[in-house]
Amino acid sequence: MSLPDELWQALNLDPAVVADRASFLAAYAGLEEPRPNVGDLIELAASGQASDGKPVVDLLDDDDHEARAIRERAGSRDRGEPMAPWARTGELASTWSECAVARLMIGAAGGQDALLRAARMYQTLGLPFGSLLYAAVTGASARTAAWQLAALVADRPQRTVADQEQFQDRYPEEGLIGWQHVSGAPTQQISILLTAAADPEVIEQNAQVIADLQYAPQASGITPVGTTAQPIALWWAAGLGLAALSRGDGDARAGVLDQITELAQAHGRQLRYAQLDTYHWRRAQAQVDLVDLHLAGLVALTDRALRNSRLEAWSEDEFQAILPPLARVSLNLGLELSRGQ
Amino acid sequence: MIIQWCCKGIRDLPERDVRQMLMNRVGLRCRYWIGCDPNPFPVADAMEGLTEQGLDLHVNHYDYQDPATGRPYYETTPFISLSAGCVDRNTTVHTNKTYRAFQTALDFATIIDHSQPAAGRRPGWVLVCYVLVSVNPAVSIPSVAEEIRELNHNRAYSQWYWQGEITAKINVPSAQILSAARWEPRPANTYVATNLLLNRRFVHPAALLDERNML
Repeated sequence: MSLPDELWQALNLDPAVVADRASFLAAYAGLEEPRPNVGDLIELAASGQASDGKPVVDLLDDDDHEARAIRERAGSRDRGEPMAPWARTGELASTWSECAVARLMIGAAGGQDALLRAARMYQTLGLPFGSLLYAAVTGASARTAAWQLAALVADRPQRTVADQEQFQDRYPEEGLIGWQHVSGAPTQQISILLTAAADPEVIEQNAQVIADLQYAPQASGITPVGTTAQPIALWWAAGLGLAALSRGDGDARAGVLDQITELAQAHGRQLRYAQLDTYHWRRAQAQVDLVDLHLAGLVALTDRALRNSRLEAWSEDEFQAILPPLARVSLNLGLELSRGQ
Repeated sequence: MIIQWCCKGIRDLPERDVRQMLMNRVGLRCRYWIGCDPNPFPVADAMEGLTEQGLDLHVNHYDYQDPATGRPYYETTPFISLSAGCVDRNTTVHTNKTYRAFQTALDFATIIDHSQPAAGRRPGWVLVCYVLVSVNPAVSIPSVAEEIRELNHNRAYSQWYWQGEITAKINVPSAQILSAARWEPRPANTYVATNLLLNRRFVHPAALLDERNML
């Protein structure tokens, strides 16, 4: 389902432009560079092995024997990967998540599938943001949620080399970007908390850890997090509120709504400012993300927790009564994720 | 001096024109030069335009209507936009985001009409070339390109930073263009490379490196 007309009017974006972005990004993510690739050709040029013959040769022309010979020469060389594995995976993860946002906005098919692709790639990188997206789409918790939550409390940012072996035994599911780099990033800490807090089993088994999180430095931290750069303390409070909702504590609902409201207002303001740059805005290439996926994820997870605990779920009317249209773009998408529309 | 590899996205020219670009020694020409065809290119006039103000117009105000000529700046620019990719750093959220040169070039090459972003996609060419980049701004020196993406050059803020722009001047000679690939959008969100032209008169930049063999 596409965003409601009221939100499109507030966005002042042409859905056809968003559709074009979605299509381009999906095509780019799936694109295979022809062999030989640029790196191969540069090496051939350096060795002088491709300089004899016609001035220009089309390497994709199967009927051209010179092209075949060059392809064979390039194919016989040892090739290194043109990019580090984490760099290409990270690029694809970003591309799929941007594509997913565009598809979900216009209600095109494959929006959730694109978000799951992004989630898997972030997980391959070892970034808990992938688990957050996975949980937001599927409602299922990631296998990593429990140990990451425990590690978040137990680990110190500075670990000695001597600890490394023991660390690898404890955390075998490290991704391409090591846990060491991941665990210190506020954005990833929030993702860990939200993912774990949405899983009643994880909460039950880690009751003491959850209780301790109220006193963690993040609970009073002002480090900016997410698209809208709101203080980590606000996200932390929302995460703890989500844990309470997952336990069926209805008293937490009002507090979580306040936190969602505050985050949504910040994102709405960012969108409004981004609209001032009309050139990029009308091409759907604003510097601020059109949808704050952390916020959409929070809404999806809290909405499911409310329904699973038989509490009053969020409603579009409830958000509409307290927030202007631009602030509701991410919330609307979060509800779509939660309800599988 | 830095040897910088770059991509350039151009619209769907006929294959023979792209082959010509790779063979004719002149290579990739600025819009001013192309607009002069078939008349001779006024080199001195173009070099007069290699100024900081001109560069700012090229990078940030491409559509600017020049009161002197009555034409949009892009019709008379002596500059050529290339992309080398960049890392955009969002300091408020402690996040780096990488933009690849190829993605930027492919996006530009395949947009049907830049003034109508909803108009859809068409085939386009992505060229791979190298240029020499000075470690300092040197806008009036035609033989070096300007590294717009280098923030330490202390130029004015550009909202185009993420495009990873390297701005060449007047032309990028054929000898510096390695290849040209034609990409065609197909149904079901795919792009297919239909041609990959290799320039066999390309001169590898090893000759320009600060390394000499002993006698």
